[in-house]
Amino acid sequence: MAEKQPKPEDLAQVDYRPPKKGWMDPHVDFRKGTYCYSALAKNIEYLGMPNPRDWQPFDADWKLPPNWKQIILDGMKDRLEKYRSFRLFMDICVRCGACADKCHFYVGSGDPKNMPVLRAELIRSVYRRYFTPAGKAFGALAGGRELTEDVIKEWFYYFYQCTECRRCSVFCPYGIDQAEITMIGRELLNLLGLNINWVIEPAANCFRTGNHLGIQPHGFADSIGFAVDELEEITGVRVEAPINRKGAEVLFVTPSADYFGTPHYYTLLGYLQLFHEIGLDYTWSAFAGEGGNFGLFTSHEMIKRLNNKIYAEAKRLGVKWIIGGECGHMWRVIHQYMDTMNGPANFLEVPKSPITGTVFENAKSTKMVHITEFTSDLIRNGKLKLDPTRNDHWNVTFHDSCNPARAMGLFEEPRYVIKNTCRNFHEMPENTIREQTFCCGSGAGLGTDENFEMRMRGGLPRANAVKHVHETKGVNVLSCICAIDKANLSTLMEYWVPGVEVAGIHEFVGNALVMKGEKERTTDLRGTPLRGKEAAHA
Amino acid sequence: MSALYSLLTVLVLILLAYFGVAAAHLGVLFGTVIPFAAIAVFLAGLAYRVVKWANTPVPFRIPSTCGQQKSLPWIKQGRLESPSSTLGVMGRMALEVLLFRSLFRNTKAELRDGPRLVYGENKWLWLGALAFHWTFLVIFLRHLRFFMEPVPRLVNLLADVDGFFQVGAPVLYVTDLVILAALLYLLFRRLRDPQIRYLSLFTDYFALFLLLGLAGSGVLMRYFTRADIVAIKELAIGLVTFSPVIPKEVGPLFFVHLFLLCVLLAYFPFSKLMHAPGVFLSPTRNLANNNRMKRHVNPWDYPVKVHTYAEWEEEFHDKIKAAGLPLDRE
Amino acid sequence: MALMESLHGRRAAILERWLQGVMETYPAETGRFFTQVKDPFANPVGATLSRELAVLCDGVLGLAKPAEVAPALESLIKLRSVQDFTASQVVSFIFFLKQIAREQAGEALRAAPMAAEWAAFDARVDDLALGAFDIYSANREKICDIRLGEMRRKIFMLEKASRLFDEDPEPGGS
Repeated sequence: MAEKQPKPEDLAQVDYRPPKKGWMDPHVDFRKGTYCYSALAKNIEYLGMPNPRDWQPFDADWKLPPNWKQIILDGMKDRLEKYRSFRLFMDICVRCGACADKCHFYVGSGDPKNMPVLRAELIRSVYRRYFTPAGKAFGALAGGRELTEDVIKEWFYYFYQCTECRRCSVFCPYGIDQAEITMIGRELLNLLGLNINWVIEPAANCFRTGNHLGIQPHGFADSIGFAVDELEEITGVRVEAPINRKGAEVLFVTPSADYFGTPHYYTLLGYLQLFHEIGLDYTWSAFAGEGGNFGLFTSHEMIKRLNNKIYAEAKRLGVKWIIGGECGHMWRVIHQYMDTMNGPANFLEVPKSPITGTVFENAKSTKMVHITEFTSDLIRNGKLKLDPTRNDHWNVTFHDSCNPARAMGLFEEPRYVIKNTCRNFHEMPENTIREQTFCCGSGAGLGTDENFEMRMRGGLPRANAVKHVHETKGVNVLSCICAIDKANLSTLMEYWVPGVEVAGIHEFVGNALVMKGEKERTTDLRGTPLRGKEAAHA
Repeated sequence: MSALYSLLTVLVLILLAYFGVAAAHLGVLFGTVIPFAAIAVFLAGLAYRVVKWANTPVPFRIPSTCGQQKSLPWIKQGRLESPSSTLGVMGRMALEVLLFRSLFRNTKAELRDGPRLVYGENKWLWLGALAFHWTFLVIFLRHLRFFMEPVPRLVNLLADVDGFFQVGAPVLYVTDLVILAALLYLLFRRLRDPQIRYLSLFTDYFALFLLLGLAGSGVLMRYFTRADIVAIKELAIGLVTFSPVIPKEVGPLFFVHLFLLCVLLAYFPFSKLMHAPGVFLSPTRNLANNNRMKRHVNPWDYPVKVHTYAEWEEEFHDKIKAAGLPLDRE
Repeated sequence: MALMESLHGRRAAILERWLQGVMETYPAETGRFFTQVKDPFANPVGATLSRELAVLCDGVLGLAKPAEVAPALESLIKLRSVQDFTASQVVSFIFFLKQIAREQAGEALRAAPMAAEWAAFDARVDDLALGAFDIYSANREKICDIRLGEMRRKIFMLEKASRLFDEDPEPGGS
C-alpha cells in the first residue's frame, strides 16, 4: 500500500518548485491580481505625454515605439546627468543585503526581486552594461545586462510594485533610496507610454478639475455643503465653510478623498469643526482642491505641473499662508519639492497662528504648515476645550504614514494630538513604527482594485503588527494621517484583522472638541452611540 | 558559480605575480612599472569619478528622515537622525561613516517564536563590516613605517597598541587576526545566506577574495616566511621617492602582496568600492531636513505646462456660477 | 489505535517534514526566507505558516480540539488565498500529510493489518482538506465583498448625495 501512495507533489500534479534561475533572467508572468491596468489613451493624451494607445500588461505586444531602446538609453543618460542621487545610487551599492528584508512587498510575497537591492539591480544592470567601462567590456561578468523588451516588462512589473515608501533607505549604509530609483524608473517607462491608469487618470483629473476624482466645482461645493449640514445634525452647530474666498488669512488644502470617501469624510468633519471653533479666517479652494500629488508617481515634471496650483491659488486669493491636511505623498511633495519647484513664495507671510501667536519657524520659507503641527500648538496652548471621554469607545494605535515619517520626520505632533483627544492609546511593536513604519502596501498609485492580491501581500507586515496590538491590547482603531492609508488600511483590516477600524486623527479631534453652543452629543461623528449615552441615543 | 570564478581569478593573479618574479624574473615589472601604473590609475580614476559625481547637480533636497523634525519649540528634535543644521548633518555623517549607524539600526522584536532566542544576523553584518573597515585603516597606517624614515611616532604608537598582547615573535598584531576573521565572515555570510547569495555578483566575491589574498599574503610574510623587512623598506622608499630599486633579498611572496594591492588600487575606481567616497555625497544623508525653512534651488529648473485658474474658470464658468462661488470674471 | 499512538511519538518529525513540504510550494529563495527569518514582525508569512501548521498537525493527530483547529486553518488558507496559487494549490499541502505519516510510521505500521487504521487517518486528513476548501471559497467571496466595499467607500459621498456627479466627468471633455 505504501508503495502505491502517490508522493505529495503528485497529488496536485503540479511541480511547485519553479526551476532555479538567476535574477538576470527578466521574464515575468503577469498574473491577475498582481499588476495594475495600463493608462487609457485619452488620459495620456490629455496630459500631453508620449505614446498614447490601447494596450494591457498581459498583451504580448506592448506597442512600443520603434526606437524604444534609444529612448530609454537617452532618458537614462539625461537623468544620470541631472540627478546626483540617480548616478550615485547606480554606482555605490555593495549588495550587502541590509535592505533585503526591509521591503513590505518582499516580506509579504517573498519574491526575491522585491528585495530593494534587486529591484534597483534591474535598472543598475542596464546602467552597467551601457554606461560603465567594466560593463561594456565584460558584460554579465561585470553585472551588466542587455536591454530587451522583456527587461522593460520586468521594470514595469516591479517599479509598479514599489510604493516609494523609503523604508529601505533608512537601513542602507549609504542611504540608497529605492523610492528615488523607482521614480526615475517610472519616468523612463513613461517615455514609452508605459503607465497605469490609477496614476494617470487621477493626474489628468487633478490637472483639469482640481481633484483626483474629476469632480467639478459645483460638486465640490455640494460635497462641502453636505458635510456642513450633517455636522449641524450631529453637533447642533452650523459651521462656515467658505470656498474660493479672496482675502482670507489661510488657504486650506487637503487630499480630495477627504471630501469624497470614507473614513476620510469624518476627518473632514473634524477639520470643519476645528476651524469654526477657533474662528479661523480661512478658505477652501475648488481650483486647488487636491493636496495629493499623483505626479510623484509619474515624473518630476508632473509633480511640478500639479503642485503649481497651490501657490498660484494662494497668490490669487491673497492669503497669508497655507495649512495642509492629513496626507502622505502630498506632504512629501510639500516638504521636499514644492518650494524648489514652484517657489519662492515671497507673496506669502511666515505662518503665524492667529489663535496662539506661535510663529511656525520651521515653515518660514515654504509657508505651509501641517495640520497636526497647527492643532498640537493649539492644544499645547490650551486653546481647545477637549473631552477625550467622547473617544472612549476607541482603543487607538497609530500608523506612521511613510512619507510624513521618512521624508519629513513628523512623529510627535500626531501622537500629541491623539494622546490629548483619546484616553486609550497603544503603540505597535517598535520595528514597525516611526522611521521603521511599514507601508500600507498601496502607496504610489498601486491602490487599484485589480491589484488586490499584491496589495494584501504588501500590507501583511503592517496588518500583522496591528493584529498583535488588537489581540494583546484590544486595539480597535488604526489611526493615520494619509488619504491612501485611510482607503487601503480599511480594506487591509477587513481582510487580515477584522474588528479594527481606520480613522484620521482629526476625527478624534472632532469627537472630543467641545464646541460653543453645541447640543449634548449622543453619537460620535460616525453616528455610533457614545459610551454611556446608548440609552439617550435610542 | 560567480564565487568560484572570482576565486579562480584571484588565484591566477597570485600565480602570475609569484611566477612572474620567481620564474620569469620580472621584478622590475612587478616592483616598479605596475605599482606606478596602478597608483596613477587609482588617483586619476578616483578623481574622475568623484568630480563627475560632484558635478552632477542635486535638484531636490531629499534627506531620509530617521528622527523627529525640528518644528515646535517644545517638541524634542532628533538632532542627529533628522538634522536641520550643518553641524547636525556633520554629526549624522560622522555616525554613518565612522560607526555605520544605518547598519546598526535593526531593532530586535520583543516577541520570539517559541522559547528560542535568535540573535539578529544584521547586527553581525554591522560588526563584521565595522571590524573590517577599521582594521583595514589601522593596517594601512601601520604600513606607513615602510614608506617613511624616520618612522613617525604616531605610527609606532599605533603598532605598539596593535601589538599590545605581546604574543609570539614577531609580535602578533590583533588587527591581522581581526581583518581575516571579518573578511571570512563577510564571505561566509554571502555564501551561506540564500538571499545574499542569490543577489551576489562576480564582482562582490572578487573584492572579498582580493582582500583576503592581500591580507593573507601579508600575514604569511610576517609570521611564517619572515620576509626581509629591510629590503622591503628599501623598495618601498624607492617607490615613494621615485628612485625605484629592486633589492635581491625581496622574495616572490612580497611581489604577490604588492601585486594584489596594485590590482585593488587599479580596480577601485571602476567598482563598487567607490562606495567609500560615495557615501559622503549621498543626498539622502548629507542634506539637512530644513526643507520648509530654507529654499533649495534646482539649477536646471525649467518652466512646465500648467493649468491656470483662468483656464479653469473659463471651462467651468457656468457651474461655478451655479454653485454660488465667486468668479474673477463675471 | 496503535497507529495514532505511534504517530504521536513522531509528531515533531511529521511537523518538520510537513513544514518543509509547504515551504517547497514556494519558489526556492522565498521558501528559505520564510523558514530562516524568525522575527514574526519581519517575517509574518513564515511565522504564520509554522505556527498554524503545528496546530493543524495536532488536529489531525487528535491532539488539538476542533475549536483550535478551525481558526488555524482559516488563518493559513487566508494567507495562501492571496498568494500565487490556484485553488487546488492552495489546499494541496494538506494531502502531503498522508505520505509524510506513512514515511514516519515505519515498515511495521505500513503493513496490511493496519489498513483500517490508515483509512481512518486518511479520513481525518480529508476532513481537514474539505474544511480548507470551504474556507477558501468563502474567502474568495469575502474578497469580492471587500473589493466592492472598497469601491463604495471611495464614492461614499456619491451614495450620500447622488447629485454630486455631473454628466461629463471625463477629462478633456466640455
